[in-house]
Amino acid sequence: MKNLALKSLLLTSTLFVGAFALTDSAITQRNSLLQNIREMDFSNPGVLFTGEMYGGANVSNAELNSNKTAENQAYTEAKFILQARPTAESYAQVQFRAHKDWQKAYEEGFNPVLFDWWSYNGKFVNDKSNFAIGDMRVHYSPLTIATPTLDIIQEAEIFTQRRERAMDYRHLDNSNRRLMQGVNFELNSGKVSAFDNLFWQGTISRLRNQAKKHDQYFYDFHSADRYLVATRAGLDLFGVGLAANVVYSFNRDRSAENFLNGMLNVDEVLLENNLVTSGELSYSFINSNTLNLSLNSEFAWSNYKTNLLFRDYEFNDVLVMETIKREQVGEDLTLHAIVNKRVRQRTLNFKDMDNYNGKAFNVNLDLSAVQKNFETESKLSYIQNHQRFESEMALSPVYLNPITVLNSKGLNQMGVALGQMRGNLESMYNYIYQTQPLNRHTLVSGDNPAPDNQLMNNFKMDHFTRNAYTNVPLTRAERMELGEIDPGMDIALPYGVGTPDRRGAVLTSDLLFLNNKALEANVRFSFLQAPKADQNYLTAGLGLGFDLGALLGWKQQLKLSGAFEMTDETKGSERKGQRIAFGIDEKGFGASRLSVHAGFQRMTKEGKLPFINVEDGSISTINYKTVEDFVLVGPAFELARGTKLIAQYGLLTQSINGIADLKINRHIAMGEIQMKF
Amino acid sequence: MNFKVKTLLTLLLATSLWALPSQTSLAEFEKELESIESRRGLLIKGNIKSVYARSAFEAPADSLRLSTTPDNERIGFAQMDVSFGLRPWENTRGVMVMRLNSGYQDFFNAGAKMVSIPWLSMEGQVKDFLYWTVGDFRQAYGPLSLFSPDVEVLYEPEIFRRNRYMARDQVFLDGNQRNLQGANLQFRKASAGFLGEIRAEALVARLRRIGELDVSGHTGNIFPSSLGLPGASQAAGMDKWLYGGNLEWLPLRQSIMLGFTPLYIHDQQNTSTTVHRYITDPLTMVSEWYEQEINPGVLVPEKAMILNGRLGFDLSRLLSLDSTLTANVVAEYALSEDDHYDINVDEDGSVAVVPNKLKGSALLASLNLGYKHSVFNVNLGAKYLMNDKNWFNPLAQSPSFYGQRVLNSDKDLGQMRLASKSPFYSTFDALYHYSPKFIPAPSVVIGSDPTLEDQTESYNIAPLNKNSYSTRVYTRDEINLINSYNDMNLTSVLPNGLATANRQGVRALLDLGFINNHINGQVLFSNYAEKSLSLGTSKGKFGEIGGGLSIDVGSWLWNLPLALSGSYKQTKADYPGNVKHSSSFINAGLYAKYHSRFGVSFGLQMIDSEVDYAIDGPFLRLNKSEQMQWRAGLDYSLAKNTWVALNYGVINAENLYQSQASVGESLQLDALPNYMATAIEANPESYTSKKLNHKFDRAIIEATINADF
Repeated sequence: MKNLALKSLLLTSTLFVGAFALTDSAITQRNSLLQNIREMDFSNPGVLFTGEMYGGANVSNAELNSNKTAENQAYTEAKFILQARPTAESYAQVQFRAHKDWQKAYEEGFNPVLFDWWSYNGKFVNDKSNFAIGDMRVHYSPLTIATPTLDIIQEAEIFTQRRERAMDYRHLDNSNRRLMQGVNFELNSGKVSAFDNLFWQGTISRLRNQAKKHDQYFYDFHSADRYLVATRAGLDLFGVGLAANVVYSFNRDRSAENFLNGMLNVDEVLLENNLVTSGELSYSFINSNTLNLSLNSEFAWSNYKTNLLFRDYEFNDVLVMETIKREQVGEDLTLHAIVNKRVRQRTLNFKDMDNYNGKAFNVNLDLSAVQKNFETESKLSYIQNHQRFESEMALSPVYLNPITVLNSKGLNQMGVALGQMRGNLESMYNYIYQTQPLNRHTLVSGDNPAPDNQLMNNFKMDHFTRNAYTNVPLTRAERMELGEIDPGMDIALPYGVGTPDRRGAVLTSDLLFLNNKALEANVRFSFLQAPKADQNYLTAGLGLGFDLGALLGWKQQLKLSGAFEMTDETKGSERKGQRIAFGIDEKGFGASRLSVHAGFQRMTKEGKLPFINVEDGSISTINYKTVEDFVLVGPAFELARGTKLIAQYGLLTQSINGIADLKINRHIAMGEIQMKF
Repeated sequence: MNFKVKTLLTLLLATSLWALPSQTSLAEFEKELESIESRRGLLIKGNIKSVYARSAFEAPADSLRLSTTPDNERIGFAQMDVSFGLRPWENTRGVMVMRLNSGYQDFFNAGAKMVSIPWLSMEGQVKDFLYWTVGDFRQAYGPLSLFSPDVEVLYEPEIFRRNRYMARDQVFLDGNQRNLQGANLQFRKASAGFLGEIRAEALVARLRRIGELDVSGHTGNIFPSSLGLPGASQAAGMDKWLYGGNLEWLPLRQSIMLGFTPLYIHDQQNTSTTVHRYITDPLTMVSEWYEQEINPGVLVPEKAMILNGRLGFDLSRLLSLDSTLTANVVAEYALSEDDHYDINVDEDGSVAVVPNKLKGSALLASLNLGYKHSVFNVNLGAKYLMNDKNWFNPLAQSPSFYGQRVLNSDKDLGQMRLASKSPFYSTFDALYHYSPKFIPAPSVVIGSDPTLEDQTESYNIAPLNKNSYSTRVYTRDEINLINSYNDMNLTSVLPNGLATANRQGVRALLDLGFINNHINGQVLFSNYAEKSLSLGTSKGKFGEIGGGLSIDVGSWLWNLPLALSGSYKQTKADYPGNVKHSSSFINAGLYAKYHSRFGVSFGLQMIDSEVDYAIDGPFLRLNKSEQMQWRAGLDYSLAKNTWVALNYGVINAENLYQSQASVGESLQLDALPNYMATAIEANPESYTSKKLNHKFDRAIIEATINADF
């Protein structure tokens, strides 16, 4: 325990949290209390060592058309957060993970630690300004620097926990701030003269690091360094907000030259430069503690320019050292001479490729209300994005396409290449985290491990994940390689509000009703056109949730939830997606420390895929449809504060009709102890 | 909403875009509270080790310098194990041991620094009778059920004991407890009355995880580069699970013990998969990708069931005389059923792997009689053992010691994998040295290309861990392979401890002490035979006899140790198939302390051994071996296992190779020192002798630090 003050604050706050009916002032108070707790927690100079430990087993038994395969995760794992606070205003943070898979006979002794977060954060000038160095999360505006997040309505808690855990391995925290490494500073003036605030922010980040060892195989293999420089400035005055953002990301030419000089089997590297400037204008009609109504708009211009660095060969006159041998009687005379010679040389040249501009615009009416019996956060947006709008730092979502997470080895062995027909629910709510020895089988993906003996390196363990979430900003070229986004996701705005080639309206509304806010509703609707592609997108969703316990005045919680969402595309691949969800969360029935959670989701996907007939080479399309059901149920028992014993059983089934008719069933069982410290 | 509020909200709440203020606020608040309230202290303990050893190798037989590998090996590392006790005084706790290791001589290589987590566990209790552990844990029930057998050195001199302690501690070995990873649940309730104590335990552990492994690396392969040899690779073809239970009832003031332990080990067949290997066809020399099982050594999914019952009676405890009298008897009986396989060769030469169920049983009866007096104490421990040929329990049989080549292992090149059969093997080297991360030299030092041609049969040119001790649980094939290559001087009688299969016989140890044990003597006798004939016409016989004495005059007279100790043990093993091995093991030690914390120590060990293969043939084989080690040192010690020591010593060995070749028959070279083999192969006519003598010495300067904190 830190100190008595924090202890007493915690005591009072625990009582406070129990208060039932939350008014706006209660929320404000709680936020203020939370802020106070964090301030106290983070402001004492010293060292803080916290984190979480997990231990247990996660088993997936898969059945594919009557073939069976199993994959077991059995592990002890720890996530450590080490904070050092040299002063009250700043702190350095290191995060690392330790993972031990039970038990590989030869594993003892070499199980490394994965350091995946280093940061130094601080405040200055009366806490109005702040800086961050190292790993950081930065947000500018929806069209410049932001992370499009998942918007899943009425997701059952049992699913949310699994998703958040999977995302945590990528340091994704549900916020729309973008993860990067570099330096960020933010200056805020506070109230100065007539201005409510004047601010200026600057960011420098290295987005990619060129691989230095081209003789080895890495998953994070990049052909050139990539950097970001960005700045924004703005003001708040009489309810009007004005801001300008400039974001420039680029590849460093010289690093690409280094790369090509070292790689004999690669002849070209594409260098992408992306400049985005945007202006934001907002006006707050009403700005009180209980009601906010504002109009926010952003207009952005982008330039996307690429150069191709390629290897060429030409004949040049160069001075070279030659060895000349002359035979003399009885001895060889070797001479070295510098001669002028015409030789074939490798040269590196640049070629201009794409250079195009794009625009994007959105205007949003935001309503935020907190009343005694009603609460809402609603937004009505109009979006108009040019097809060539490009902003990599804002157009890279946390989740794009599904991957095979569970039983991947076993299912691949059975000859399954599902591609786009893979399961979304499998990808979103499951992950694999392992430590494996580095060798040619683990270093090289796929079924073609290189025979090169340099890859034999059994001694060293490393951390491996199968996780569908990503925190990497994708360049346009990389994004284009992904092809069409899976219809299990929001295909209307797959890359967030800046998605290129979109025009239309989006409505999102979250509502809470009743005195104890026991009734929830969520509404989603969007109609967007893709003028260039000549396609239309329609999405609609409705979610309802209510706490039966609170409605009936019980102490126990019994929350029931349900949702329906759909997304639809006209023309093109005619993708369609539907999601149905139900959830039950009970807490406090039978035993105060016991809670039981259950959830069900059904994801239906339809669309067309190109099909190449191997025999005659003709290209046609085939229709596919997949239906994926995931039932997950299990209790959680609190052994001590912050320590839980969790058991879960899940049945994940997927039927695929397309190139082949497949049915994959997975029985998932998890038993785990989670401990915070 | 203005920018300031927006920014503040984003920073403060860090939530999804559409979450409602009150929901977000509550969720964040509860998360923060839980995090803060879960912080219940931190306890830091640990151990610091540092070893520097320089071993200079010299062999007169290599006067021509045919061996280009380095003569000197320098092991130098500093290591700290930091044990973090998380929430140390709570009813749920976490333990993480972080190992920070740095090699002395590779300061230029950041990759040489190891940060690893060799121990990670959570534990807790519900009330005062239910305890649980998840992650790494240790457990021992009995020698036939769950146990980690170790080698035994009678009156081991202190100067050597310390080295062995460090090597074992490196892999977290603690006594005869077996290290496992999984979950362990224990119920314990004791009462003073008739009911006594009841213990009920359950454990689940994964012994192997399916995974790919290069078959030519040192790590993970008992016998590298031997794809297809059963037991050679430890890569698992399937997940291997252990489920166990243990029930113990100790009624009548714990004077009676009734115990029952069921253990079940099985390979989960549906976890199996295949990998692609790039293999060159020896006939066509064409290299292609072949799809193969991950571990071709695992021929069938294995499954073993072990049922173990124990009955014990402690008379001294019943009479409440256990402070002076020892009188107890324990009988342990176990049954095993193991799904293994047979290899059937048909008349047409085709080989088939056929599943085969092997059943076995084991019996161990122990008697302990002793008396303690202020002037003297005496104790007689006797054991009777009767284990079937097919008896199998890897949790009790897997040895913690498998003699490895450590110092100057570069000399071995491809022969390092032969373990104790390697020509440069020394028992003392294997017992007392280890190197956590050794980077082998390529087979050709000068102008070599560290790629394909320099890989040896024993290892790839990659860092490897040299240590004879491990916590592994082996398969039946692996145990058989290890038993074939383990050090006969140490393991011939009971290679797998008291759970060794196919043994029947007795062992007795008489322990006498005088003057608070300042004078202590032991006499050891054991005599075993194979329970059933395994090969040839006569059963194997194994026996040892020995004794020792230690006198600590210093502790007796002036309260600081001045101890002299010595022992002699003679071991004889007549293996089935008429292979005979005998060895004598002499230990002599001196340890004295002065100025309370300064110490001087000396140790001498000698092993003379002889193997008679009794097979006529042209093989030039190791027949006689004389090994000696002496070491002298100074130390500064604070406690038993906290010291700084500086030692100098020499290990030498003289091996005689003999052949039964008939006149005119050319010699077949077995595992000869590589430079000798090279010389003979280069000029076979000049080597007509049926005897070959090979001497080698290692001069070792060693500085060690070990401190627990």
